[in-house]
Amino acid sequence: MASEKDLKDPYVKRLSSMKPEQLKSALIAFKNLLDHRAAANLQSCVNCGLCADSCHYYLVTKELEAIPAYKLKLVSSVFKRLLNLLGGLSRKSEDHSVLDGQMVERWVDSLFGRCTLCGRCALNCTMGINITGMIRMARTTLASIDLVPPGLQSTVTTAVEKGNNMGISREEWLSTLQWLSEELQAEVGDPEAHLPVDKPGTKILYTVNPREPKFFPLSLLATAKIFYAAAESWTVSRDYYDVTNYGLYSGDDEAAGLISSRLRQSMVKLGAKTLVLGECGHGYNSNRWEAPEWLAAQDRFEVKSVIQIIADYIHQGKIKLDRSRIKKTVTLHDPCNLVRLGGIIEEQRYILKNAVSNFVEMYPNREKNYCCGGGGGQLAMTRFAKRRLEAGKLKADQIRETGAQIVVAPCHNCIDQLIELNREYGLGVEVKTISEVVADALVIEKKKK
Amino acid sequence: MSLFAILQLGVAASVLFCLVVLTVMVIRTVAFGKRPTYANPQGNRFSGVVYAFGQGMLPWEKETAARHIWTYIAGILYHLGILMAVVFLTTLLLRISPYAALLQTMRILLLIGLISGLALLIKRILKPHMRFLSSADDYLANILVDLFLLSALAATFAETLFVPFAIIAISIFVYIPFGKIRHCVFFFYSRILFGDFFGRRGVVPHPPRRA
Repeated sequence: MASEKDLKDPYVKRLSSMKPEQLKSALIAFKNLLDHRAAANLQSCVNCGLCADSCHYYLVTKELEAIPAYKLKLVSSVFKRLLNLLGGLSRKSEDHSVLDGQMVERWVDSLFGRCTLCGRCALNCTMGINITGMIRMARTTLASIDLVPPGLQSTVTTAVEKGNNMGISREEWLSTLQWLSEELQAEVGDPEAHLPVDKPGTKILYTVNPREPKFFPLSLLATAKIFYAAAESWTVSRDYYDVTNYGLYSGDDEAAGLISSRLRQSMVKLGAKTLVLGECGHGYNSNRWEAPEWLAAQDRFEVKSVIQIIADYIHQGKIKLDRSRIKKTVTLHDPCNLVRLGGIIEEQRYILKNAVSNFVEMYPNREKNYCCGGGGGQLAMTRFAKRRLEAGKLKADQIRETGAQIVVAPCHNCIDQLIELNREYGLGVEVKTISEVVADALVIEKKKK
Repeated sequence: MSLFAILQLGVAASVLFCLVVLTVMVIRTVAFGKRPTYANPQGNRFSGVVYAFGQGMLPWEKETAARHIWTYIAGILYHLGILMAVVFLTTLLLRISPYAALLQTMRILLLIGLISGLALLIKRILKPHMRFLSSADDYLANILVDLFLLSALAATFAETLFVPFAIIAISIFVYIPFGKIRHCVFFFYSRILFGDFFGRRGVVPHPPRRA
């Protein structure tokens, strides 16, 4: 039962007073999302329960509502009730549920509140069910009746209304770029060095997580330094540069499509050849894999992660790194959306092996990694913050076991969570992006006139 | 008409019913339609599907199997036992007498399959998280299949025990589409989708390590 404090929360109020027409509308939205993949996935679970141990929420808390099969059942039971392919014959033995107010509350609690959409359960499912996809589909259903938790919704709304998720004004963005250009000139000793804005016809259009200009400008400076060293032809857009897309997490496909379409507009406007996505896991998944589906259009240009670009620079000898500069032990966190759901697996390792003296893996790693707990929109949903930090213990333990002094994460969402875990669990580590580490090891050669 | 002929017909009818209903289910599932995929692939869908049915089922690839190795082994043996029971049922219906050595092998596999099935049932009953997840179908399906294996094993020793074996077989074939045993078809469906999804994204099979 909701407490008195909860009832003052407008979101809880909305949740507990669902009208029949809203539920009907949710069901219609749910039905419209079904295709043969979803229908097959929703009929395949055998309740073997093995997925429980693949979820960081369950592994830490042992709460039954965190088991992926349970979360899947919340969705599949509605599917079976709604579109029972055998009529009412199997209702007696299997779980069939009506999408009523109570079920909607369960959806919000487990599908928004106990899931980072990290895909670990999907990869480990005996049957191969895309549990993550089914949970996102349920989130899309909830988004259709405005039931995305407020923190996450406001991030999406800000991105839609202001052009980036932090609401950075154009003036602020341009002045940050100006200031960073001056810093770059001082660092590389070249008065011509700068961060180009809206330069037409470049090879690369670079996109960033707005947290970089807002809170971590040195991350952006580090990438600019790498581009400078590689003599890259690149630019950022003055208008649309935000690599993030919280529509992926809120389930709002329309907003997600709009946000992603803006980067594509910038590509067309500036005539760049490759859309390069900054260090952001979900930004990569959104823009590389999901955006073409949201927009129902194939990209006519390359979409790459900056990680791939940096790895190529090293491989092609375009930049030189001095590994001896970084003597501290470095470990790598694999962001789920970049690695397990994105397919960028080896490049970051290749970079670190060339950039630092002592690189150690955490276990498990690569596509089998544990989620840090910051994905799925959890960082934006303050109402679930306690669970998020609790579930992050697994990652904290993993980091501690490596004995590393620096944790590298090519994702700003992960970095935010890792910074919190560092504080919460007293890890005593530095948390850095790949670009920051590479920039530290970078050997800048004087430009030939 | 002899009792054997009636049971023969009953099994054939139940198998036909099962196949027809499962086919209808698959057709209705496919009828939900396919959304085209637009993102340019990074990996290979086909290789992903091959991985899904091969390497991807191995315990060192699948953490859930590695962490629950006994459940994984029991699952394999259970399904092997079920396959043996179906093969044995077919030999009985077609009046084929298997070689003694083959019959002996079948008995061993049926017994191991039965023990594995019972172990999985006990696990479901004893583990709180399994009880929490389970619906009536999870117990019923397991019990029915265990009975199927038990009756098959008994029938390998006495021909007269073909009657309960055939009756249980009929019950199972009729039940399959209505509960989780439908995974005999949907397992392949969802694993193909799994391979397609992760294969296209270049996650599986593992990309080569960069030197």
